[in-house]
Amino acid sequence: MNRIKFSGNNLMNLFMIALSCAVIITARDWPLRAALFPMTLGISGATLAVAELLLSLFGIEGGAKKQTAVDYSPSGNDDKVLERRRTLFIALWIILFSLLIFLLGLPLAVPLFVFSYLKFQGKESWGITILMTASCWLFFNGLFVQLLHTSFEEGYLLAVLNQLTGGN
Amino acid sequence: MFDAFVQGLLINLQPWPFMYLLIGAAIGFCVGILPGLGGGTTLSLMLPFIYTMTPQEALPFLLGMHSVCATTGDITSVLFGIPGEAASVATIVDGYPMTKKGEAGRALGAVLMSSLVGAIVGAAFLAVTIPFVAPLVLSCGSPEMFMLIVLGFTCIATLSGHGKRGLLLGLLSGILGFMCSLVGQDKQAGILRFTFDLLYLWEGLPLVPVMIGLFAIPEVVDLAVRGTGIASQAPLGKLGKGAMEGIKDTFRYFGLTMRCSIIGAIAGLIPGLGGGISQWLSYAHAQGSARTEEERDGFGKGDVRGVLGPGACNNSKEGANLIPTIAFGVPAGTGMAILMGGFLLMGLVPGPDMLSKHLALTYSMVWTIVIANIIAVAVSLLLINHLAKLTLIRGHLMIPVILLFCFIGTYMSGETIGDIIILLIFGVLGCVMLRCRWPRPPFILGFILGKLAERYLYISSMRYGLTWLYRPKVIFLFVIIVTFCLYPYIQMKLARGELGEPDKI
Repeated sequence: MNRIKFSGNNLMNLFMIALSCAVIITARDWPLRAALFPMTLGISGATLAVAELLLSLFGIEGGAKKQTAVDYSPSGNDDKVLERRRTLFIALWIILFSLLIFLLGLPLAVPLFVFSYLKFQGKESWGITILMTASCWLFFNGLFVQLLHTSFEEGYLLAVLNQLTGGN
Repeated sequence: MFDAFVQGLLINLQPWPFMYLLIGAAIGFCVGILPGLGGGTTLSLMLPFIYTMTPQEALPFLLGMHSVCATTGDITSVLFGIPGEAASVATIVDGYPMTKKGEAGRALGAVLMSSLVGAIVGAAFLAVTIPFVAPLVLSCGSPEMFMLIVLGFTCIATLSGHGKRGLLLGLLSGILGFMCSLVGQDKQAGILRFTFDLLYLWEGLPLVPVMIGLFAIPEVVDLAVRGTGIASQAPLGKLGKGAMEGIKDTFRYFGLTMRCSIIGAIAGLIPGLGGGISQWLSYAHAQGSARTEEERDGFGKGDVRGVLGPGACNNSKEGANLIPTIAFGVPAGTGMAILMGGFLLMGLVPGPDMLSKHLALTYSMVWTIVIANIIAVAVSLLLINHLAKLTLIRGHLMIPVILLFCFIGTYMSGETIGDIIILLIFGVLGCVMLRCRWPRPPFILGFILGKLAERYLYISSMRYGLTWLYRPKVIFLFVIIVTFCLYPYIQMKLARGELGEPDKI
């Protein structure tokens, strides 16, 4: 028998098995009308994921390394430490942008994020940073605020500050 | 009928209608490029402006805008890996790798020219089939619709993974997409499914954040990891020459472009299927045109045929989408539903009148699609150098702009913070799927068509019990589905028979 192999792909399979089981268990309490499709999906998903997990674990020919999806492949970086560090940084920046939107609202978050990313992560010159920030803000403000009159949710922090100061 | 056809052209060439067509095309050009801000959204935003217009002016304006969105939506898919439109996702699979290889000009040339061919085929299809289409569409019941969805899903699941377990991974990915579509209030029984007591989830997971998260966020992460511009790996060369090569590719693979256009036109006829499924059907067909395993392996890594197929199909479906909308008042998709609202605002009632009393106006729509697309493609080709040069800009400058588009596009779809959270969750899922080599296309197809598939399955089961499985058209579609599943194995066997077994190393 082949040696058991474990990879990240197996975690996805385990996740899929758990999800399928959760769908089946939850759908048992629903009327047939609502449960028919989830049950069908749950049973098919669990069966296929178990099959894929077994094939993957026991390294049967055509194993995970031979599989490629018809999808674009990330280029990555040859230096794995650098790759991990950059992945971590970009994830933090994405989370930061989301937090800024949540706390300050999109109209303030946009220039703040573009400016801080370009200056601190990109280490761009002041000229380029200010020019890009202004362009992005002008585009955003001109199209969505002035032209389309989009209403943006007020940031949580601003709403709290407004409440504290008794503003509208 | 020929008179009406010529009159349709003359309507479009009058000064005011032509000017409105140009304005509509210009708006559509910009909107198509902006991710998340889809043709449907823009149509709805522009509806108030048509109150003062005559139908001859309003139709070129609205339809010119809508049809151009599909063309320019492919540009961001190719250049940045961000789908400008929901129906432009399939173009990413090979278009973006081409850009990364420094073939942005060629990819753009190919996608634009194939879009134009597709638009013309779609318009011709609309013109020719208007009188004959009624029995075809009306003969498709819920069981057939369900089987058509399963067919589309199987096509993409089968062809989205290489290796012996590719089908398995494709199906798993699709089932995951279907499962995500379960979230929200069930339409059949009114049960709340996987909403976790959140009012936000009652309507289900929103499409735009899911799509942008799954496709754009992993690309942004990859761009940051590489620390270079999008097209860092190879020089762009002469872009104009590259674009010309792309245009030549369209004619080099003209049979494929035409077949994919026809696939789009046929899928566009069926309400609800539209761009979601037809782009993948055409991609699957393009991939199926590969003669050897090596050629098949090239798909997903920047094969121009993977760009031509979805490009042609996206635009041909636009003309065909109009058929059920005009003929039966059954809109083929969101954009068409809004357009139909525009018809009613103008006092036009979709149905037999559109095919008799207003036939010239109906044919004017055919011409609008053709003219608007010719203009959009010509302008895009003129700007191609500038567009493709964007991929040379260093990553640090591009990342905040791309993220800006992602977040604005996401926010604009529902105008709530919840969408941002969904974007983040599906961004993580997209990265994990890429790492684990789970194909994302079947996921997105399952997600888009999940609710529709469930409704058709439910109606079929409740109305016919199990007897719907014995309907001749269902059996016919089932045979095609099985053939699709077996196709890669049959192809492999045939190739092995011709070439002999490869030597073992």
